[in-house]
Amino acid sequence: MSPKRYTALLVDDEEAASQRLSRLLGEYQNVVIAGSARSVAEARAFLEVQKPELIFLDMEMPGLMGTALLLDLSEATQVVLVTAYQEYAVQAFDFGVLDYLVKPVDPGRLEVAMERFFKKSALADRSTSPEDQEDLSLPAELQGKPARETRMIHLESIRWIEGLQNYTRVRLTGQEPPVVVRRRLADWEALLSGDGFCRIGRSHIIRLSALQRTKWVSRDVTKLYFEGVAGPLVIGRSAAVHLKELLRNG
Amino acid sequence: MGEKFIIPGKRQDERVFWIFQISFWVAISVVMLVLFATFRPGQSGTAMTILGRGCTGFFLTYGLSRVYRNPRVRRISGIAKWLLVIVCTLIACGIGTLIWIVIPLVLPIRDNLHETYSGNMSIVRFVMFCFWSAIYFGLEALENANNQAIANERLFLAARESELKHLQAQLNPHFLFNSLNTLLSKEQNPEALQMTQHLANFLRSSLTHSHSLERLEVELDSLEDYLAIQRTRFGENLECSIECDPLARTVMVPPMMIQPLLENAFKYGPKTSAMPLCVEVKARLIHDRDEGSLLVSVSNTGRWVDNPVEGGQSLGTGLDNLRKRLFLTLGESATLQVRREPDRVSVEIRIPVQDRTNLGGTAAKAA
Repeated sequence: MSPKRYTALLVDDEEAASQRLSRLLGEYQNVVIAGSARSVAEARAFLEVQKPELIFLDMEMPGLMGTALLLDLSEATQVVLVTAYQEYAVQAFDFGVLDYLVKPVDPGRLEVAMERFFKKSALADRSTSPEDQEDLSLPAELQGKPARETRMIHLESIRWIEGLQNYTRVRLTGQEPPVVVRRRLADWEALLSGDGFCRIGRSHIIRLSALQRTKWVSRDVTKLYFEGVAGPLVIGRSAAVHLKELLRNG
Repeated sequence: MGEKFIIPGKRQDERVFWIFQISFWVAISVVMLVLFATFRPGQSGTAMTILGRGCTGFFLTYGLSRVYRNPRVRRISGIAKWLLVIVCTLIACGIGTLIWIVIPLVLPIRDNLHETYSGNMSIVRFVMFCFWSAIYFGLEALENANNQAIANERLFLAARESELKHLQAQLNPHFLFNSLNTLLSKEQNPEALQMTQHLANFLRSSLTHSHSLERLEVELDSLEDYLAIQRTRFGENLECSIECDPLARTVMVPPMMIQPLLENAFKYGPKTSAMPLCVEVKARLIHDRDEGSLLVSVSNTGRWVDNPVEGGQSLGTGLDNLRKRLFLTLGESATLQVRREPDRVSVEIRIPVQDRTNLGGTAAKAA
C-alpha cells in the first residue's frame, strides 16, 4: 500500500513566488501540487472543483486579501499563510491557520510547517485508515550482526534515538555504543510521548530535558551535547530549525 | 514645543509651588509677629490681624499664580509681561486693602494697623507681593529650563527614531523581501540560492528587531545566518560556531548585542590571525547559589588591535557604545570585559539573572 498523498493549492499573485514554493515542495513526495491560483477569485473557482488538504496562501494580493478566502474553507483544509509582511504574524493565528511563513520561505522552516501538517493530518486519518503493513526486513548495513538479544533499557538512560527506516539506534548514557532496536521511530514516538522526549525532524527523538548544549557549526551541522554522554549527536538543518522552534515555544 | 513633553513634570511643579507658597506666608507672618512684638509690644489683637493678613496674602497670591499660569498669560513676554505683572500685583494689593477696610467694620476686630488712615500696610503689602512674584517667576524659569532639557533630549530621541523609520521605509522591506523571493525562484547555483536565503533571513531580523529587550535566541538565530554568509565568503579560511545551553536562549537581553562584537572579529581577525580564522560565540547560564548570570562571549584568533582608527570610528568607541547600551538597558550590574591573549581576543558580556525573572517561559518549564 502506497503512503497517503496530500494535495496542495498555491495561491500567490506572483508566479515566481509560486514557482519557488512548488520547487521547495518537490522535496515532499507525498505532496502533490494540484494547482496554483493568482487571486482569491481564482482560488475560489478552483475550490469549487477540488478540495485540497493544504493551501499555501499569500496575504497581499491585488483585489481581495488572502485572508478573505479563509472564511470559505472547510475544516478539512489546512492553511499556511505566506507573506513578506511579518506584521501579520500575531493576528494570523487568530484565523486558525496551521502556520505562518515569511518570504522568502526558508526550506528548514518550511519543513517544520510540513511536519506540523503531516502530524495533524495523521491524527485526523488515524481513525479512518487501516494500519500500514510494515516492512521489517533488516537494512543492509545491519545484516550479519548478532540477530536477537533481549535486554532491559532504562527509560531514564535514553538520550536520543535515531531512525533508520524500520529500525532505530538508541543512544544511552555512558560509553557503550548505541543499541539497535527493531522498532520504528514513529512507534518510539508514541511510546515515549510525555516523558520529556521530543521528535525533531524526520529521524530523531531526543530527551530534551537532558540537553545541555547546542553547537551550531555550519548550515547543515548542529551538534547536540547531552548530560551523561560524551559525544554529540549531529543533526541537520531542518532538525535544528525544529529544535529551535521547540525551545522557543516551550 | 509640544505641551506633552511638559506633562510628566507637572506633579512635581505643583509640589514645588505649594512648598514655596506655604513657607513664604508662614515666614512673612512669623517675621511680622516678631517685629511687632519687639517694637510695638502690648497691643491686643495685633497677632490676630497679622495672621489674618497672612491668610489674605496667601489667597491673593494664589489667585495671582492662577493668572500667571494661564496659557494665554504665559505666552506674553517682555515688557508687556512685566507691566501685566505690576498691574495684577496692584489689583491684588487693592483687593487686600479693601478687604482690610471692610473687615474691622463688619467684624468685632480692633485693627491696630490702621489700613484706612495710613498707607503703610498697603505699601508693605505691595512690596511683599512684588517679592513673592519675583520668587514665583524665578522658580518658573528654573523649572522651564529643566523641562527644556528633558524635552530637548526627547526631541532628539524622537528625531532619531523617525529618521530610522524613514530609512527603513525608504528601504521598503516588503519590496526587498519580495524581490529576494523572486531572485530565489530563479534557477541558479545552489550556493547562490543559499546565500540569498541567509541574506534575506539576516536582513529580516536586523530590520525588524524591537527596541526593548528580546530573547537571546532571536539574535543567536540571526547570527547563524550572518556566519553562514561569512563562511560562503571565507570558505576554508573560516571556522566558526555558536554554542549555547538551552536555558540561556530564553534570557531577555538588548537586541543586536552580539552583532557588533562579531563585526569586530571579522574586521580585525583576518588581519591579525593565522588562517583559518576561528570565531566562536558562546552563551551559557551559570549559577552560584541564588544568583545566576548569563555569560556571552565572542572570541576570535588574532591579536588585539590597539585603538585602531578607521573612518573616524575606533574599535574602542564600538565597545564603549555597547557598554553604554548595556548600562542604559540593564543597569550597572551588566559588564563587558575584554581579554587579550597572544593569539586570541575575546570579549565577554556578563548579565546578572535574578530569580529567573528575565527568563522566558521555556526556562520556567524546564527548571
